[in-house]
Amino acid sequence: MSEKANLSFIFILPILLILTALLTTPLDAIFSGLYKIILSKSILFTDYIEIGGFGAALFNAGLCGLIACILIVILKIYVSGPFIAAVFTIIGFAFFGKNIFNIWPIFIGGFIFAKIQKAPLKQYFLISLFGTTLAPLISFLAFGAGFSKLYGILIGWIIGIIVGFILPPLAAHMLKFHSGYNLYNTGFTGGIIGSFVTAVLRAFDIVIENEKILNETYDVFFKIYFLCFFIFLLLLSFLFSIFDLKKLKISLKKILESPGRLISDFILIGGLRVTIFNMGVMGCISLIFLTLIGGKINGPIIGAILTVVGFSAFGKHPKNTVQILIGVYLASTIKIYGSNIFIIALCGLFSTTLAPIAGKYGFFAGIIAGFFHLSVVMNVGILHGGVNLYNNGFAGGFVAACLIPVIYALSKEKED
Amino acid sequence: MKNEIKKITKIIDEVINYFMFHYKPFVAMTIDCKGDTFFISFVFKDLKLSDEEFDKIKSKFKLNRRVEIEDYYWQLVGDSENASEFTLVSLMSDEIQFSKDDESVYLTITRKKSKK
Repeated sequence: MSEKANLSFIFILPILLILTALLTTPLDAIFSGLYKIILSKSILFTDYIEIGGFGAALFNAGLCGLIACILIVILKIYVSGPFIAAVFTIIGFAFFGKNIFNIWPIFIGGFIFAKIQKAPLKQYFLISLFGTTLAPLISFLAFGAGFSKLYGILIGWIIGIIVGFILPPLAAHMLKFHSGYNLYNTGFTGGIIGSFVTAVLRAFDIVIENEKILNETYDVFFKIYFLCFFIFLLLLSFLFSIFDLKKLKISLKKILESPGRLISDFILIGGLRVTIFNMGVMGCISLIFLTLIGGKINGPIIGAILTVVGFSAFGKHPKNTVQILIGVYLASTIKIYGSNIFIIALCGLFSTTLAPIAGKYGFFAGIIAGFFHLSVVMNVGILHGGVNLYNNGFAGGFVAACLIPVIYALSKEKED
Repeated sequence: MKNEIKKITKIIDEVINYFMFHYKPFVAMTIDCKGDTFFISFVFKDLKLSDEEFDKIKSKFKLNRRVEIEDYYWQLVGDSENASEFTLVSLMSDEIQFSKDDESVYLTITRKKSKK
């Protein structure tokens, strides 16, 4: 498959979402909803479907994805697995925290860092894309911290640019903490920065309180909508492979053999066709998991599903994720969070950030990772007050850092 | 560019780590810096790789350099005992030559300093 095909592929979902919004919602309702989304604090969990309405939420998600794709084109970046993961993650989180107002400062900060380093602008763009995990910090300072609107926007953007500026060296450094076994590494970095900033804000009596604004009205619609999209991905991969199904099988074997540890770029390992196939399969698995536990789709759950699908180009496949889901489910049956289906669904889907542990150390290691992840994720959010959207990435970093040395010491692979 | 030497030593770490873990060969290594280019050469003596093993490793070295990936993930290079991080080594290198004969395996990695 050509470089052009990779690039075209990332445009599909943003365009689909924008078209869906335009076909289902009047234009004035979309723009008034978008305005409400922009003015929201966007702290975890702020479901944009509830804040701005169905059409505006879809439009915002599509637009954020489109901005990322256009910047990728302008910067002449080769679209490989990490960039597919980043685009899908941005789209997913644009249902509950990222919007066309609060993602820009992070990008600008990254570009300034590249300029100061005298490096090409594209050099740190991947980190900036994932770095929009801290976008709610900008919205909160602009519209939720009690400043006047103009002053708040100014402070929000300045802090956002600073955050975007410091992210590249920090994100690279934080990888060492979990040795690449936590796929959402920027989430871990964002958690550290978010905790730092939140602590400083608390010292000035600016308190960030978690939100829980959810809308599950469109559960059935989104389940059918995304199921159709994932089936479309499967069909697309078959269509590309119609004359060479044997090659698809060989490529799939290569992907399934990969432990998924950073960096496992499935585009480089198996090519676009099989990557799309894996993304379709993982999307279906996510929907099956959600349905089996009785979960309903809302903004955050869409974010979780699309993140799983995106990272199915960059580390996740059925062989290294299902056991993590089982681990989270088992934990939910004996822990106090068992009655909260939303939390189990969200943590379950996002817990697949630990897929490399299962991929590298096997089925039971995956179950253990999922089991502990549920507890850790419920206790780290308070540190950053909800300004870090990838809370599971933050928790996953701690789980991986604690488990990996022990599992490695006990594993059979160890020599001497 | 900062971290240039660290990146070179990480690449060396990764290669040595892999071959020592799996084969424990006699290793001869040279590092040559000419202008803005580093040439890292390894000769693994008395090492007979099967064609399958050789092709598996070689397939990891086929990728082109990607600065946008390199600067995020380079710190992961050097602490793995399987060949998975050779992909990253490849993404950090401008040219890689990997060959073998009846007695030895040869690896030469060429890396230019990051563009300013």
